[in-house]
Amino acid sequence: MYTAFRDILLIKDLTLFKAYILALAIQTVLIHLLEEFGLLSFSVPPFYWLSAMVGGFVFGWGMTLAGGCSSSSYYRVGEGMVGSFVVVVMFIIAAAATSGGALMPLAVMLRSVRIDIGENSATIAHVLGLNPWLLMLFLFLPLAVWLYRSHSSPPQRGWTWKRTGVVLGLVAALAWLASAWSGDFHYGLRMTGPSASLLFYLANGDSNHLNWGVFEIIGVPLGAFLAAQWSHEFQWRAPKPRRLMQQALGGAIMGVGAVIAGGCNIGNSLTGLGLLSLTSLVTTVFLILGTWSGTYLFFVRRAQ
Amino acid sequence: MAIKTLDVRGEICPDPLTLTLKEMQGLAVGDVLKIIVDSPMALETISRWAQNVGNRLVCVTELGAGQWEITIEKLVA
Repeated sequence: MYTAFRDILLIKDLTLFKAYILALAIQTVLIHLLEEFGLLSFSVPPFYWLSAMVGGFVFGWGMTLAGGCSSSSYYRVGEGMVGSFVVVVMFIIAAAATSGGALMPLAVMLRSVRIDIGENSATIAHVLGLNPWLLMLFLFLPLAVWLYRSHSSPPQRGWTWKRTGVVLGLVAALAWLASAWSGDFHYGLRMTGPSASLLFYLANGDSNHLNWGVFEIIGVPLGAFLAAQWSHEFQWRAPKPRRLMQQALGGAIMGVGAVIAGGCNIGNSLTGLGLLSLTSLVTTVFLILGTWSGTYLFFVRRAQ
Repeated sequence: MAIKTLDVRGEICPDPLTLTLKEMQGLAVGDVLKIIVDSPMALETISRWAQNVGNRLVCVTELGAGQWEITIEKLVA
């Protein structure tokens, strides 16, 4: 998703962004259908506008320095990328420190600033006074037409954006069901909470931290490893030392930003926006702004 | 026609692309740049950029597991 946001600015290309929009639309419609059938119950976070802005922006800078978001770092570990492994380790430590350790007061302070709209009501639909289905129709119908008409160069390897978007959307919706059926709380794909939980479990052995999300984040690099082996692309690769330290810093910043924002780009920009959450919308906007400003400051300006 | 090679293995995104952009600025129309990458995302981004701006993506050669050589001919000044 980092590349999807970054490429809009850097090379004026929307290929990956279209895959993201398609996945978001499919997941959003499917989980609202599942809720209608009583298979899911939504828990929408309050409108943490300040932490969404600060956390989203900080996360955007972090993933720019890390060279990828938290989820892409997890799967790149499975492809043999040592730099991504360092990012993941730093992300886990920073997420745990911010959600239940030394940096927790910072997150608590920022998240204490919020607008109370009502329980489970901090959604875009509620604020606009629209039925969620009507909002989805207004949002996704024009997007569907745009996606249908748009064209992109075929990829050099791997899937097209359409296939990627459809599969990711289905997986994202299935994740909601899997999480709910496991007895964990009803939420979809997420990386931040489970990353902190993994460290809490490793540090104190409390098995209450071993929830569905922890197994999800363990599954991501394992799946990527199998896919990389299958496509003969697994290779141990390490960045230069200076780059490695830059990635480590980026991973730590991402962990702090993600907890402040109540989730990373997956937890907010895919799963949270699927709920039509207002907090996730603000987080996503500031995450994109952070990505663009970070890309310009740390990479484009230096290369000019 | 000059042929230059740029090795961006070990660089993290988006540096493979920004370094490619910088190198391309120094080339004349008709020159060829070969970029060696070790990131699938860099492979896709550089290839898409080359086609989007009107340069010719001559070929992509797999050098080994997780390593590719992208050959681009500069067609636009």
